[in-house]
Amino acid sequence: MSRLIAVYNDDEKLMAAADRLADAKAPVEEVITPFVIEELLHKFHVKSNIPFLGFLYGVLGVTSVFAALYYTFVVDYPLNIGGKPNLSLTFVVLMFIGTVLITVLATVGTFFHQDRLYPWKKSDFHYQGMNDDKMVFLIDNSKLNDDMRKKVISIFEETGAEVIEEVK
Amino acid sequence: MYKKDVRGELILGNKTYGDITNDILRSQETKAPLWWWLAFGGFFILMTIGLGYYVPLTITKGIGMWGNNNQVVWGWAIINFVWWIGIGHAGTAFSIFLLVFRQKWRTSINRAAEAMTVFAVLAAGLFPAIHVGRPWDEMFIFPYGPNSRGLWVNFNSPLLWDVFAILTYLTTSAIFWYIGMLPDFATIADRSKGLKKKVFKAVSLGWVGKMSSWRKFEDTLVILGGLAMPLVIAVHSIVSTDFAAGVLPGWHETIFPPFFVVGAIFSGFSMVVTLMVLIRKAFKLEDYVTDDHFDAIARIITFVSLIMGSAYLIELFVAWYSGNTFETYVFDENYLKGHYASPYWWMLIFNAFLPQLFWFKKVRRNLLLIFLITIGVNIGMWLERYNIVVPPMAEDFLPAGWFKYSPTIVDKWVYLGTIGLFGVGVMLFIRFIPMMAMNELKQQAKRQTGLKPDEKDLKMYKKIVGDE
Repeated sequence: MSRLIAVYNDDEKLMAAADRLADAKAPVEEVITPFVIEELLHKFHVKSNIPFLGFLYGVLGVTSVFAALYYTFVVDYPLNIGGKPNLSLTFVVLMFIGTVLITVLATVGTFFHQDRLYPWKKSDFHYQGMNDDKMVFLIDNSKLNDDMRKKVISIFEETGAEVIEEVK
Repeated sequence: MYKKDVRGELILGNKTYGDITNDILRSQETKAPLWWWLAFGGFFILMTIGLGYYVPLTITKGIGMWGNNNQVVWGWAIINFVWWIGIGHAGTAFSIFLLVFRQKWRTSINRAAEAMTVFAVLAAGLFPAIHVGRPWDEMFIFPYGPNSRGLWVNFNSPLLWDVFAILTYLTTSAIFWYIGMLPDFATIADRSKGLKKKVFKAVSLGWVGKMSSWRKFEDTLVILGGLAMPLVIAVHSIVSTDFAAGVLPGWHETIFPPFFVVGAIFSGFSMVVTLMVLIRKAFKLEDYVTDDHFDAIARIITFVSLIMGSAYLIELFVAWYSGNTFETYVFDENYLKGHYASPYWWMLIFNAFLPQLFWFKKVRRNLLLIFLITIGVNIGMWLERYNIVVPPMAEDFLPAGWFKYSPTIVDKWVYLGTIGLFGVGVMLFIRFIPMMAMNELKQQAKRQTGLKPDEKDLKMYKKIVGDE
């Protein structure tokens, strides 16, 4: 896949470029930054469904832990502890802890899965310094027509990109 | 206007993003200094003797090697367990409470606090594991099915809750710590060569800081943080219920859960400060851990110390007000002027009185005093657990049964062994893992030099301060 990349070393310049690219409706594929820049995420409307899934895992956790406790302690082998009811409020404690455990593991699993993170993964893009102080715009060449290409390059040049180049 | 900041500048010296990477990674890119080897060696020896000799001795010969007796059935093991778990709440109390409450000054300190959590919880977990006496039967704690025993475990018992709570806490805090480190591991992989590069490449899981990745990263951390915050409260409340559900005077108190949680935060914060003072000095990180940071933590410690002091007073008052002979004996006789007066008064001095010095700005800005006071708090919190565990059991309902407790050499060495384990963990941490979250520091640096204020922040600021 061939890409047009522009490298910045200053987030103010990067944001200036981002504003203009967004206005020009340029097909920005990704922006790689060494730290999270909230304004950038707002600008390109980057969203994730992890909060919603996290909530679902929570619901799943509560119900499954309650079901397990109910089965073991009420249905399968009810213990008579001083005549106290088997279905008791004390379940809340383990329900909470079990829910936390299930939700944490499932949420992290989802994060790893969605972002395709695993040991020894070969990342599809690398630019030296992108985890240090460089910020990189990635634009998919196949989505650029000639006009847009000129426009994008002029935006990069005018906003002071350090490097503008084609990469494969 | 927007730049008016209560905490002052959190990163000094007009750092560029590259400077931040260089400063934080310097400790692992240069040769380890002599003091590091000495400290590592010392802790390693403690760990080897304690965990390599005295723990196996306990397992093979039994709990009879400890100072526990028929009257005082819980001794140093449970004291140390609660003490370590308390310190283990540092990471969450610090990192996650402040994350959820959007306190930006957590940035320089959260990573070290989270590391401490993991090592402290590991140290804590050792005690119940060996305290059961027959560790090879530990699988009975888990509800793996009734077929072999004819019944399930008792889900109503705080001791069982403890097992699940602590394992969940260890898992959650270790995952929270690790996820937060992914971008920093990628940074190290970029800058290193050979085996180190391979290792960090593997542990960074191929992280690339794309916008979509950052969004997921932030959402995951907030969810983990949001879950871990009530988990801290649950874990230590459960630890307290181990005692409060008993009938012993001095244990049977409804105040225990909040009292334990606040105590844990107290000792956790103090341990964080103790170590941060040393780390800042050793690695010359004054630009990142500023006097303002210590000032902020000292204020919290003062506040928590007041809560601790009030809790001690409430215990005394309720003992007196209950009119119960046994209760009154434990508090008003035994603690205040009896056989256990000395640890009790030292506890009051370290936990309730000395931290009050932080009311003075001069003390909050004096690193040596901060260091000494927080060391005092850690000793005081150990004494508090001693006071809770030993005196009520040693002198309970029947004076005929009263018995003195003193720890044996095995007790002491197992404790020293866990200090060794914690120390070795911290030493490896400061050498091989970025001590501060570089990506968060860069975000903080950006916030300080400021593109433009976040609209939400601006709105809130205007609401509080007005339009000027």
